[in-house]
Amino acid sequence: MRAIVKAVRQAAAAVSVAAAVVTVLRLRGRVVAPMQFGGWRRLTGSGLR
Amino acid sequence: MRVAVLGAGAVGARVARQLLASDSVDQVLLRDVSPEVLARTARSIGDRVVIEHHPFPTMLDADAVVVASPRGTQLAAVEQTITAGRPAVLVCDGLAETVAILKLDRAARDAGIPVLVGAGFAPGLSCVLVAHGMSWFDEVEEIHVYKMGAGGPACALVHHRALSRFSYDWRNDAWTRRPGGSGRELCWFPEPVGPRDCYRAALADPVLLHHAFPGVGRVTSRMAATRRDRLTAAMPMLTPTHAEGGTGAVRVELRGRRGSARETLVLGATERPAVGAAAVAATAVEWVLDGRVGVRGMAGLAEAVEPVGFLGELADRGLVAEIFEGDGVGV
Repeated sequence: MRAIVKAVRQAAAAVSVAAAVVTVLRLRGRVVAPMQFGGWRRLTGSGLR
Repeated sequence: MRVAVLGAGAVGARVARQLLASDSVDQVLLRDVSPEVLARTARSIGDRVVIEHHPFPTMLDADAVVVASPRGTQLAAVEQTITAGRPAVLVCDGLAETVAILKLDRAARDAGIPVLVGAGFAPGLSCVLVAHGMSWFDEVEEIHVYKMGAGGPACALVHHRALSRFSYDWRNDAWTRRPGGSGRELCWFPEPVGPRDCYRAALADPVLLHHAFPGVGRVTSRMAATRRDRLTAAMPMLTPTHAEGGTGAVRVELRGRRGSARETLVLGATERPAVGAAAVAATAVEWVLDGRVGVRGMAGLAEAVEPVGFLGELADRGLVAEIFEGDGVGV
């Protein structure tokens, strides 16, 4: 019984540490969209090109 | 001419309004299960609308039928239109229901009527853009469709669920099943939407495009979503959706061969999805009434309409197609 409780505690601790690391990385990370080259142009004309 | 519009939601009400604004339709028969929605829509449109409350009469007295009712009700509505022998235009984006409706092809052919499946923003405009893009190439090997945004609350619910269902992509002569919410891909939509992360979802576009272009080796679709969308996709919608939805966009990417060169073509459009879907559906109804749709039975817009003329009429309604011309992209 004691071994099971110990395993559960260790698993909970591991999950907590992982969650903390992920949270720090998420908060520190920046979301930057890569540069886009070119642009959109409206299709016009009888052939819509 | 008299057109029946089943469903008076964000799309159905606009379809009715657009049809009456044109000279091709004299009267619209509007059906909805909600008396409040019917009354509000009828007040805003005018006296050329006839409303029918639930339970509806079995007879459908109209020259064409627009099915813009919520997911889960469209299959029965299509069966009713086929029984009545009336051509139909469907604004649908649920994958399972679209597949079930396509299976009614034999019945629709026997009735001698066209049933245009997926005549909204996506599928709908997306299919027309793909059909137009096919003319750029000698041979198309891949079609990829991306969409962003939802129309009314019923459409938002379909999108919410689509992220937690399996997506079906056509790859190498077989349907490939992948979990919704996987396969993140950053893609640029026309402005003002711009770059969005897109994920696999249970979308109907690949089914309709494979139906239209069975020779294309790869057909995929993705929809834009946030982390919260993916996290909550498996749960019920916890917050009520916006009645109208914001600005949406559709983007199609075709890869293939022209001459000896391999090329990529990107087409797109941006509009509020309910407005765009209504413009596409109303234009499709006018084409049906004018006899400009040559097909009989179930068909997506990609195989039912001539794309240049259709896109030209959509542009007259304010829904303008665009092409992406960028570094290494463009034919």
